[in-house]
Amino acid sequence: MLTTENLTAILLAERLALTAFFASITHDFHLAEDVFQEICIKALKRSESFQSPAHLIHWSRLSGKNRCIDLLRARHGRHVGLSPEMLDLLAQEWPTQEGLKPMQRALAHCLRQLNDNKRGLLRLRYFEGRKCAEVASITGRKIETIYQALARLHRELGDCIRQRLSTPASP
Amino acid sequence: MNQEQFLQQLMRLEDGTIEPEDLAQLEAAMRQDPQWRALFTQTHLQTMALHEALRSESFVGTATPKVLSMPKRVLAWVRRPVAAMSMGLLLGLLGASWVWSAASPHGTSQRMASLINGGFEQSQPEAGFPGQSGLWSGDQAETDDRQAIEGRRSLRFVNTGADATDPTGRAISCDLFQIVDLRPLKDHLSEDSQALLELSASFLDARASGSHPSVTFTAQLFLFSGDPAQAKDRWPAMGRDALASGAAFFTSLGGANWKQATARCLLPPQADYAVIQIAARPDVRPTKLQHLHADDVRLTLKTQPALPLRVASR
Repeated sequence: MLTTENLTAILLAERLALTAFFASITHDFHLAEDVFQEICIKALKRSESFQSPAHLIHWSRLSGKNRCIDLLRARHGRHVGLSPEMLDLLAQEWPTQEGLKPMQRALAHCLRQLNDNKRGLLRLRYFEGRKCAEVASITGRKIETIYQALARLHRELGDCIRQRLSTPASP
Repeated sequence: MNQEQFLQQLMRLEDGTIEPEDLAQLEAAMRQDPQWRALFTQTHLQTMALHEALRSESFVGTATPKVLSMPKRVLAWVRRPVAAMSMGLLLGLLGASWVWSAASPHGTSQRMASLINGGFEQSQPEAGFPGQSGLWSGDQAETDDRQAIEGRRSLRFVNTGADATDPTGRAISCDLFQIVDLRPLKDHLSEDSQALLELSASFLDARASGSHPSVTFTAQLFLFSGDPAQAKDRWPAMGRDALASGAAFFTSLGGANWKQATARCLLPPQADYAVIQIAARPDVRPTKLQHLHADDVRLTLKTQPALPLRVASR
């Protein structure tokens, strides 16, 4: 059985991985962070029922998934996205926080390599949380161009992160 | 479907514009081949990490020396009326009384840790990162009696600034900070209590609707262990050592409506103090900040139910 202290430490350590999973459902960072906090409180209320860290993490993903879908239905009347069955499958396979810290460091390095235009695009979409139509309007480009540019940026960053992580000298 | 097509469909899915048939095709591909599920997962982890990196970069890591000449005034400690704290703990910092509540109807007890001068009624903010708990300090800002959502005054963001400890940074936002000492709470939280800190702040972009540039308002809290007196010399680099943090923000193009941002953060047992940050950041720089306000900043501690009702003094 997990102690409250252990449970808190595990949930805090898993914050990025869990919020990423929730954001893959809500498509809204803030809502995902809210769900994470709700799940923390819910988990703490029933801390005696968790047998292991893996049990807690799996429960958090499934419970968070259900909460995300409920919130989306409450807000929009429906949930448009991957089916609950697919989300369950993703929940089973979703990685834990292990390995994400080096990824985050590598990402910080890779972000610095991007030119101002690319960084500006990422900032509009992922920091300011603007819809792609707004990004297109602000940058004077077509929305399809924005989808293409974001897809290519994700691939470029993914390649850069993998290369960075495979270089022994990289921090 | 190749990788680029898959990623473009993911971008549409995230954007809420994917067509039903494209969504079905995307899901079918993910069901059949674990490589697509792995790419889905990797892309979303990367997206969340991007969001955090850009947020951290904007509000913690890049900044320049401040040039401020704010008049210092004697700080008057705000004591919120106990009547206004019908549900909650008033944590009157630096010598006040505490009121603990019974459980809320929602099953989660709420207690309020009062920020000092959360309504900006009592004193002007000081310049630079605060050297002690309980006062607002930061970039150039002033209290203003022309706009308020609570009380008679609000904070008006005046100018962007940066951090004295980071001479290479850029002045991109107007940030105000307050340190809240959490150590007095520890004796009053039971060993197995679980707590969540919630920071809320109301912001007003009083420019005409559709004004440019857009401005991003932020409410953020960071929790640290150690001596709060050391924070002044270590900010903003210490942000990376935070035990936990929470942030909420929104972007505005004017419209003169107050809007609230609420950030939440689990309270780890080791946390000794919180750094509260409210900010206004114009999204094109340099820009003179005009008609941008904050008011009614609150820090609330939420815990599990079954707390006894009690009043303690210190």
